[in-house]
Amino acid sequence: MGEDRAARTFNLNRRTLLRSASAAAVVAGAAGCAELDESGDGTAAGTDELADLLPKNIPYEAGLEPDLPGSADGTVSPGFLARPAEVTEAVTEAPMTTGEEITAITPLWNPTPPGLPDNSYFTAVNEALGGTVRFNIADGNNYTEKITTTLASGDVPDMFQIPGWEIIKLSDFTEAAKELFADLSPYIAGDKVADYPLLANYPTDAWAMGVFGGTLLGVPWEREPYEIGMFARLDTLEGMDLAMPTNLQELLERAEEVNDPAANRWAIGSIDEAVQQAMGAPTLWRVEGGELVHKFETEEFAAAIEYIRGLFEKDLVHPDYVADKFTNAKELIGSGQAVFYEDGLGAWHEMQGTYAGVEGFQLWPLDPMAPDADGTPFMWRGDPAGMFTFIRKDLSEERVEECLRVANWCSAPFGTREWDLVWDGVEGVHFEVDDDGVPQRTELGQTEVANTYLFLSGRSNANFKFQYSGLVEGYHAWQEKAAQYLDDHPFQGLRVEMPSDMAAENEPMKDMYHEIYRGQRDMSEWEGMVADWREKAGDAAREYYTEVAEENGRL
Amino acid sequence: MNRAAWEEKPTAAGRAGKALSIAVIMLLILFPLYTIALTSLSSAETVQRVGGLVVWPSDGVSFDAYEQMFRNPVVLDALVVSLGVTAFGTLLSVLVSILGAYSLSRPGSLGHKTILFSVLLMFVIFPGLIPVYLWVSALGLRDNYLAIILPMAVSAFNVVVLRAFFMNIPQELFDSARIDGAGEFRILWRIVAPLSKAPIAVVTLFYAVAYWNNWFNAFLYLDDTSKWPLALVLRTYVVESAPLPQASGLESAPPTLAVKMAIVVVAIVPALIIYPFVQKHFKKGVIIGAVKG
Repeated sequence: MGEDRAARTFNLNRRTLLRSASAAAVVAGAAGCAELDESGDGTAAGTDELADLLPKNIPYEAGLEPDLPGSADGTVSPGFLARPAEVTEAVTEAPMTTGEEITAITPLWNPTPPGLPDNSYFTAVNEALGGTVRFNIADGNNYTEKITTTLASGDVPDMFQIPGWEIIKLSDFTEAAKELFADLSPYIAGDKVADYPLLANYPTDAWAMGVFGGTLLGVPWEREPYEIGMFARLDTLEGMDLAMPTNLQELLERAEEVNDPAANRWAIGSIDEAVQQAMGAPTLWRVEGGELVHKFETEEFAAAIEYIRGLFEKDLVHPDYVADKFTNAKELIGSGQAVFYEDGLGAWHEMQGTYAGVEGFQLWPLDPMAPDADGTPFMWRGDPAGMFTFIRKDLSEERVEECLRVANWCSAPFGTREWDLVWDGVEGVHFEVDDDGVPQRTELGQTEVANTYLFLSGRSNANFKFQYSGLVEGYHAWQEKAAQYLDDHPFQGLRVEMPSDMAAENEPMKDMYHEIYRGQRDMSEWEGMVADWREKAGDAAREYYTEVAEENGRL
Repeated sequence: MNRAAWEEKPTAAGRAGKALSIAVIMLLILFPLYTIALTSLSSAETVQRVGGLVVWPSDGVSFDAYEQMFRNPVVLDALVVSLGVTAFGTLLSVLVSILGAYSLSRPGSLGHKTILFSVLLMFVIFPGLIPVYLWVSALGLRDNYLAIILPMAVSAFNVVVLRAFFMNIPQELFDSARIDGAGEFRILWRIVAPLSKAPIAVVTLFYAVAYWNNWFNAFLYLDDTSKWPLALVLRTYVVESAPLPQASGLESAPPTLAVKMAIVVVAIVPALIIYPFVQKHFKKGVIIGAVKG
């Protein structure tokens, strides 16, 4: 009988193999080759023409009232200054009802937790869900291989989390996805989404990113649209009686004032894109006289290179970063060897946490900067969704609904029991609330809690790191300022897969302008490099993007 | 005066120079190992203060990093899995490689040319990630330990190394064994294998280290974390800190540099332990004198 079963499995697998052959062919082309000659329709989708596919945005109001209100478009997150005395229950009925297990592949960037049945955290959350979600956890840093092999085999799990930064590496992802993942529109388009009130809470722009080739496939992971900012060690500046710089001119002045190599303190730990942004170079493209202009082609970009070259020339940059642009500047900042550095905004609370043991450590983001006091600040606008959860196509209607209910459950906002379960587990078992109202994981929690349920949906943005003094208010104020300067670029709210030829030129170009920073190349070479870039990829990419923009009425 | 250079008594300067260069080379090798070990034994505060690897011992020894690592039960399970996989895998690999190399070293064995050709082909062509994945899946090996053993069970390089060695064993030994009535298996195990201790030891080491370090196959084929080998589990500690928020309370500090270095120590210790036992075989000229006798 054992043999029998083995034979059957083999046959089954072989069938899967054949059935998935087309999907395999699609992905096996390996990383990164969305063809340039493909017309825009396969890879880009606009909010305008796809309104019918998307769920209606119904803000969730039953939850905790934020202390600092957010904005509906997701550019300012609601701020919470304390944990509510009582957490509420957002979903009253257990979402899993069929009695079948849900399998899921999710990335994780943390140490491996024990698996079922030895993990009381998974058991507890599954109990709340009313069924079993069985995770196949994959190291987030090697997730590409997990995705390509899984898609190629066609044997996808019931729920599959795929980050946007992985999708852009996969050739013809859209085709494979349409073959393997369920179209969600029949379940949640328009008013139907009312059955999933927490999914309805996500901004429409975020949902639009989940549309692949004209089909709504992914539940979006909403993100704040900010890409990068400049941070400073506020305690160091205050100790020297220096004010935070408000523009690039002042940043240079401040850098010269704090730089003290003899005392092993350098002004800059890392610097690159934050300056391009402040100079006013576009996020990617902008329209000039009815034509698309790429950021490399702008004066602002060249000005940014020149500015950074100046910092390097004056020895204001930490030698580790001079030697290697991939240096971990966080460590330089944490140990006080550098004062300013650039990072994503999420780094703020992470750094406060990591360096909580460093006396007086206070990191603070610089307000959105302009080149000088007369200029207008500028912020790049990133995608409103960063990751996506897909649901297997050949599931029954009932099972797809069950998966959506699980996604809905996992989307519960701050201040709910579901949020606690997803983030920290069970109070009293996996975490305790300390005197400041902050959940602190117990030893068991540290070992067993892994935020995999978080990846079964997006999660509502919330600004809630109130344990770091002033951070919630500071970040809220920062977002309110930054939101008004967000780049209104021509592809806002559109999913455009970057052509591989263009993507392939990004790193070489970056290497080259980094060589200019470091004086290994002369600034005068930049123009020639851009001309080369145009020839190799830029002009073709412009055509492709122009087509997409025209199709969506953006040009 | 016509003596060759090596017959001269070495001068003091020459000896000093030699000693110095050996010392420098030793230092180049030992210093990184030393800083790794020292950092792994430093407290998180110390590492944070120096902002990187610890070079000078200052604040005493702390086993925090090792404690933090082994507190996770997954790590201990993984250690057992790794030991098992490495032991069984190496045994299988060495056995198959010896058998394969021996038959390929004897002219006229069954399918000799075809098999040899396909082995050599593996030097230039690797089937690629996805075909191998599909094949392993089709064999139903997902979530099975064999999935992390079979795909790397035979290394063409090791087979070719062994075969080359076997072919250099003097024909007279085979002839005399055959006259004494030995069959192929007896020749292999009684004559060839004992004479080939050196290359077999080396190949064993190669295989063992490969199994010990391999995390990628487990990453692809083993869905159940309780089956993961140490290399894969430890990797999840060494990777860069998450791009996403972690615990909502304490930012459960991403594993510190001390923990990362402790992991490096744990990963290289087995190789350091095995190496001295295998090393003596590296320099032995086993074959010398075999024919004279």
